[in-house]
Amino acid sequence: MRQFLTAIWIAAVAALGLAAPSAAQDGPLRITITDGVIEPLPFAVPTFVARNAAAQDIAQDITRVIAADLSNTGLFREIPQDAHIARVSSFDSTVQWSDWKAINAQALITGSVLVEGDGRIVVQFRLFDVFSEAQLGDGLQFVGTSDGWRRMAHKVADAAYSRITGEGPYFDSRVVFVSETGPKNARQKRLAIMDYDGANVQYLTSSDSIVLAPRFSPDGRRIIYTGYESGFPRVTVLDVATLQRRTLGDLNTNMSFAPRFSPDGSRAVYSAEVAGNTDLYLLDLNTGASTRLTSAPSIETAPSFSPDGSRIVFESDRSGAPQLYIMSAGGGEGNRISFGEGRYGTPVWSPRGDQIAFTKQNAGRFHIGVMRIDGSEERLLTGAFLDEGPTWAPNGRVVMFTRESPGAQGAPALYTVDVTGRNLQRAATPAAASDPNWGPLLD
Amino acid sequence: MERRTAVALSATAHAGVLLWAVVAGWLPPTPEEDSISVAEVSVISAAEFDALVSVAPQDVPTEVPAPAAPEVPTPPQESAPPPAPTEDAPPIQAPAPLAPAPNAPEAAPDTAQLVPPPRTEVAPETPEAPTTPADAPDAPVSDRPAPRPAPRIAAQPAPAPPPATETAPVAEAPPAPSDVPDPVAPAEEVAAPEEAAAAIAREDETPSAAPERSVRPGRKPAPPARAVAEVDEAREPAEETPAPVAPRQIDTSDALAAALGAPAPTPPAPSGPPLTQGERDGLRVAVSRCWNLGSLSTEAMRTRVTIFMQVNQDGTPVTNSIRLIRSEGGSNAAANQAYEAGRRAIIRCGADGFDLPPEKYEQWKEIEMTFDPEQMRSR
Repeated sequence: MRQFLTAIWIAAVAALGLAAPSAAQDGPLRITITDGVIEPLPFAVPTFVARNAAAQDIAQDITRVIAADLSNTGLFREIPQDAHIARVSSFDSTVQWSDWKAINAQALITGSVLVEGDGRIVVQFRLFDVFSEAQLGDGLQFVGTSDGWRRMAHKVADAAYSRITGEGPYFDSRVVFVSETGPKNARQKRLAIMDYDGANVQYLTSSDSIVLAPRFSPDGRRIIYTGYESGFPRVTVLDVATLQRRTLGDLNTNMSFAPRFSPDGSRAVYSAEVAGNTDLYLLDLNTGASTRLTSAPSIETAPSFSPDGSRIVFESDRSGAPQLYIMSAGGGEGNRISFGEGRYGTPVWSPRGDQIAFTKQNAGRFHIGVMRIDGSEERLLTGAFLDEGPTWAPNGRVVMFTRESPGAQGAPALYTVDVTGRNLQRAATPAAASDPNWGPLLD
Repeated sequence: MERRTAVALSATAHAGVLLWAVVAGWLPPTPEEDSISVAEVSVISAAEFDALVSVAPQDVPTEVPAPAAPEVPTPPQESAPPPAPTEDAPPIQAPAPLAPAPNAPEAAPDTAQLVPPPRTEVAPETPEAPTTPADAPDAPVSDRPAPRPAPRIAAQPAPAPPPATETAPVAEAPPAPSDVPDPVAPAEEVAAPEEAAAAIAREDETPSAAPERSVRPGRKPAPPARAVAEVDEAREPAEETPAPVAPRQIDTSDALAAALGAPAPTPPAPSGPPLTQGERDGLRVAVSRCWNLGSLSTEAMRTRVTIFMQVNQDGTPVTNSIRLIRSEGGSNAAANQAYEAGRRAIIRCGADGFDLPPEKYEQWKEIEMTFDPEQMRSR
């Protein structure tokens, strides 16, 4: 009985407190908002205005690419054009705010396309915050050749994306990967390069020899990878423009693999097996001088530079199972940063420098995860039969990786996932693909 | 009639026979039992008699309670405990440490004396009560009169209503004098009594009268205040706080005077009590619905921004007044993104006006809203 009365008393006091006026305020009313919603931001992009007849089709194409770029991020949702109330007939026409508000378009992208007599394309665009009834940033104009219209569309989308989200751009970038064809037990592998969205695929090598782990140079003009042209895995550099190849390292080794450029592009760090022991080495690409970075009896591999080039994260089984370690770029023992259950591998430093993506194998499943550089805040973004080999988008917001399906008919494919773990999507490739590496933003 | 008389005669005859049988049979059995017991005693020797006498107290109680127990299953349990505590009192008292207080010695005797009588009486009554309610009033009428006072009271108030209805016409007089003594302006005095009298007269004739409704809303000046606020939006910038309030006072006072027939000076100042926690929560929830963090950068998701805004009296935010006051936890670029998200939330969900009490406009005409994404980052 006493408890019942006590409960009634507490409820009465609580109700009184809820209904009672809050303490007298001094100055403006102060409210703190801690809850919100996480939804794609609805945007509208009416077809860019064609300023001449020649620009009619390309204006349509550019508009579609822009919409696809933004929608594929998972952060935006396009409002279909047939739902638009207002019609944009001129790039300089006044925005009908009420019409766009009526369809809940929070962002509006308008633009125009002009095809000049020499074939050059001029693309103009503006971005508006509809509910604020204001333009976001200044209008921009891009000029390019007709075969580069996709890049111009990516540029527009990048600008809109960055202005709204605050993230760096990444649409105007390319990905190098290993294209795989043939049966699972006799795969033919070629290096290929494509736009980030799967367009413009180009093959860089033939399928005569195996290629593994291609990595872009910081400027995107070279690719370093592990090639088997000599029958043994050797670190090789490929010029993207001329397709000229050069095997690096003159070490008296049997195998060299897992190469990656330094941030300044002048050096490469890789693994090499010498006398049965695998360690990390640093190669000066100008002089050809090689420096041994580790000297442990265990296997050290999969090195990746920090963005500032001062440290290297790598994988080592010195503790009995593959784990992640960070050492100075000059070499050393390194400090272990992964302590969770399972096996960790293929670490990649984020372009922002604050996180490391990795592959984790635990309880029969593979995961792509991220953690802070001190090993804290580990988060697994994916989980599947076989996920491995993460690579960061230039802005550090998206991770691409290889996912292989099980079974005899299983094949690898490229997937992307937002660093928040949302928006898992399969990247479009003409064939099976693996070992992606996201290149830098194009000039 | 014949059947009734026959039944009555039969019943009385049977009752008489039964009564005679009881009276006549009551005496014979008892003496027979006594005589039998006496005959046995006479046979026993003195030594045996002494031995029996020493055992007698044990045998006697066993014989007496034995018939009582089979009568009802429950009573024996209740009747058994009473003797138990009395007899078992010493062993129960053993845990004296639990009752070192003076209550221990008093409890034992009291329970032994008080428990047996009430329990034995209650036990037979309880089974009877549920079977027939008619029997219940017979036996325990005097013991359980609790529910009866209600009907008796209900019968008494019946005469009371008549006087109430009689007083009603008398009450018509007081309203008039109550309005008269008010030292109100002459113009209002004329209007007031007319409406009051008309209202009273119409109330008797027709249940729904216009003055009634005007009286009720008159107490809350909120509705007219909103209408005035919307009309006077243009005056706000020039007259920040008092301007929009003044017209509201005039309108509400007129409405109240016309409705109540008396000068009801409503509080002229728009300032009211501070917002209740519920009202603040309502505003918080309203903005939360539009605060979309889905398109924010990871850095902006770690940035806490505080936004200032002015609010029109209709609850809509003054768009031009929205500005970033301060930010914590991120770069300027991230703060700008977080600010834009908060600004969008305010404008979007405030487009139709936030649901805030108009009478407390002074309390919310300026708002500082802090957007803290800390909890949202883990989602």
